[in-house]
Amino acid sequence: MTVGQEKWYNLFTMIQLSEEIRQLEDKWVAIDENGNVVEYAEDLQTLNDEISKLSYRVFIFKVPKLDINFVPTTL
Amino acid sequence: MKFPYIKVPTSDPVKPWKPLPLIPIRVFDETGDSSLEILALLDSGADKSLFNAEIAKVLKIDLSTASEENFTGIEGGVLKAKVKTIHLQMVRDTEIFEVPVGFIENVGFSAILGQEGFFDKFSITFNREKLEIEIKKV
Repeated sequence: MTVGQEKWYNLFTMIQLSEEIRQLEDKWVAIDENGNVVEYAEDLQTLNDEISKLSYRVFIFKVPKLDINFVPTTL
Repeated sequence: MKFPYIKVPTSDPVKPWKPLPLIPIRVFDETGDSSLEILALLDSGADKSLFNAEIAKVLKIDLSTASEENFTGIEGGVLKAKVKTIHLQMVRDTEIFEVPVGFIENVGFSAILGQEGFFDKFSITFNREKLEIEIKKV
């Protein structure tokens, strides 16, 4: 690993999502780099409208059903 | 580049959290002027990448010219996807690359990165013990 890559890795610090996710199944959420939910919405367009007002970086994620094991693999 | 697995809570507060191979990616619109940063699940068993069609709608990616392909999982059902080649970037990397993505309506996930266009471009090592994913360009 190069020094640059090490630095890159250290910059991405999200290692877990907030516990609040439990109440947000099937919703689109915006998560900051520490895994905290900063906005959520039923649809992505509404969420995107809200996060466009933010001045910091967030990542978008649709919360899956948490009580069902996920097997996404296509054959 | 290395990414940590991201731990996601289960519905039962007593059960342990699940570490998932989710990585941050930037999805570009067709002009490259706007983008969304999303968490995408790495799935080495998926033939192609699959994204929620809401992503295409927000980025105004025109799916009217996309080819339609069928996808199936272990349950045997068939999902129809509109496949379009789009541009992606791993967040904080400099390279932008093309990936054919199947967009599917009404699904309960945001994005899955599969073999064609992603796993065939990178050497990807999953280290579950260290909860770390290493991605190198092939």
